[in-house]
Amino acid sequence: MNKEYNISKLLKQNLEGYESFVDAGQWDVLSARLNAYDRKRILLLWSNVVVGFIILLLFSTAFFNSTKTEKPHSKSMKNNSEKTIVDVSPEVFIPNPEKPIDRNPKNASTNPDFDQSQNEDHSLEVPKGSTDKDKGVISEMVEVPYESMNHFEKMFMLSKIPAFSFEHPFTISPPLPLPLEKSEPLSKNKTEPINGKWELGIMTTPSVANKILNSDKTNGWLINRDFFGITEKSEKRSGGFQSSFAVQFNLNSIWFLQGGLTYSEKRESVSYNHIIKDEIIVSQTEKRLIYNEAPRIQWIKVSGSGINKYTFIELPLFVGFKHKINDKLEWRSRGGVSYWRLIDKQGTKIDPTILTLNNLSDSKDYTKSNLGFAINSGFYYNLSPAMKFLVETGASMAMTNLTKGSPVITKPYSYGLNVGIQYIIIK
Amino acid sequence: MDRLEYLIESCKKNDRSAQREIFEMYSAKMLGICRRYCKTLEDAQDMFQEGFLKVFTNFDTFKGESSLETWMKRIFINGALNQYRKAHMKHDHVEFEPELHDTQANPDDDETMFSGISSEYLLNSLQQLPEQYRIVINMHILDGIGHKQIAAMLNTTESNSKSRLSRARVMLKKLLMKRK
Repeated sequence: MNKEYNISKLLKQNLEGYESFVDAGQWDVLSARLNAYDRKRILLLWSNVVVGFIILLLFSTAFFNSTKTEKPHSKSMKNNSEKTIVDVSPEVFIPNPEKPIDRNPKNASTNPDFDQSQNEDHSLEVPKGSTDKDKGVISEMVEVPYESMNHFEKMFMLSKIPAFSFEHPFTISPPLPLPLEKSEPLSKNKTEPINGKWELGIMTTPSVANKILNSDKTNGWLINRDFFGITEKSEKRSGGFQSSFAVQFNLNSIWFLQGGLTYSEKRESVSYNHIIKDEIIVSQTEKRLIYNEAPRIQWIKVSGSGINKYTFIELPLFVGFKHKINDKLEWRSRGGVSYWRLIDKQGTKIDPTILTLNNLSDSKDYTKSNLGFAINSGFYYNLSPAMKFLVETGASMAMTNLTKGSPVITKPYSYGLNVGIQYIIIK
Repeated sequence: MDRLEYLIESCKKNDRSAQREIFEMYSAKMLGICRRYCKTLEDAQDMFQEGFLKVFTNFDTFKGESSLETWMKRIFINGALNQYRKAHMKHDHVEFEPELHDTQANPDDDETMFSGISSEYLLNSLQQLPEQYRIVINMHILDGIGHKQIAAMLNTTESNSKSRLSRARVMLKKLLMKRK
């Protein structure tokens, strides 16, 4: 028999099938981690749905936009309009106040003032399928305050000859002579006009709020084996709301950046009813809690109920996009990071190690500055040209741990329905 | 359907009470494995938690081709190997190289020398071995994994695995001799 065999034999005899005593708290920790995993899985599932939906919307928006710009009508329209700007010579259009111009092409042959070729060169054909909005851009371009008109223009106005006449179904007569700089935006009108560069909004969100509890990797061993079970039982209901003031900058007709200021409250209704039966010794050297059953006379009852309230000021920075469904309605999605500042906390919280109740407002175990993320998506309805009513779903979650120096990791989250009003302030 | 089969089916449906029963049935054995593979109790408890989390979140992949205990054991051993690989990637060095000459001249004395060694003492000695030796000794002697498989799992050669085992035995013996 050699020495190697003896070592193997010794190991097999003593350690094959070796069992070690498992602390009762291990299941509670595992159970809490499984609960957290389940919640994360649900959140992940929903965030995948939302992300998928946003991607689908992005693609559909891109698709519709590309088909819109590829229309041959739009191209000819652009060429014509550019030609109108360049070719218009003020001299050509100075009307004779004595003799109103007959702009009807039918009378072209009889009217010496009506130059057929001129009409062909400068008239703007309105393609089939073009919208009133397309015409509107042109008419907007030629709107000049009466005070700034020259003598002949005023005469022209007084002679009640309209700047545009639509006698021919697909022809718009040449516009009035105007300074060219006023027509500058026309060549940029490849996409829909932007309603406003800046928008201001206020919104409020009743929401479902809760938090993910987990054990901290370094100090997790300090968590009492009963802590997660008690917490799960004690937290009856939770909810919250947030009110936001948002500032939005439209980068173009689709994309926008949004910032602002949000006041949010996350509340939970708690009811504790627990008897501490163990005497706990914290073994720093072994890094574990040692439980000794205390004599009945030393049992401590922990009871209490109330509402825990956490108040935050949030500074979000979002990027978003909008998709116009029709003249009144559009779909907007936005998402990004948010700085959370914990400004107040009230209520009672249970100590994770010794299971006693402490006042939340006295607790120093909370990080004041936190980072979170949020996504929102929903409908915006134009109440007036400058005001939109919005209804959207939103979800937000803390990325950083709210509690510091505690063996428990706390990450609040909420989801709900935003309702609000948004104003366009700068055009 | 016996009780275990019922528990397995319930665990696949994420039934917490069934998970608890399975946990209570196997936790002592699994913690034993973790303690064999890890240097400290704290590391073992971490590995134990991670292992059970993996077991319960992947229960639907258990097809019943082996016993539940064997399947769970494999998950825990894989967890230990992953931990080793991670540490090995960060610190690519041998913790210490032992002197390999055997201090015990007469192997026949081993029988008497090792008598009366408790499991806890042996475990404690095993935990003092450098990680790469501890893993090989655990895998080969206690979990019955062949050198070929060990070499593949540790990304090394078969001869290297054998040499590590040999060194591990000598080191362990030296550690046990200190008891005297």
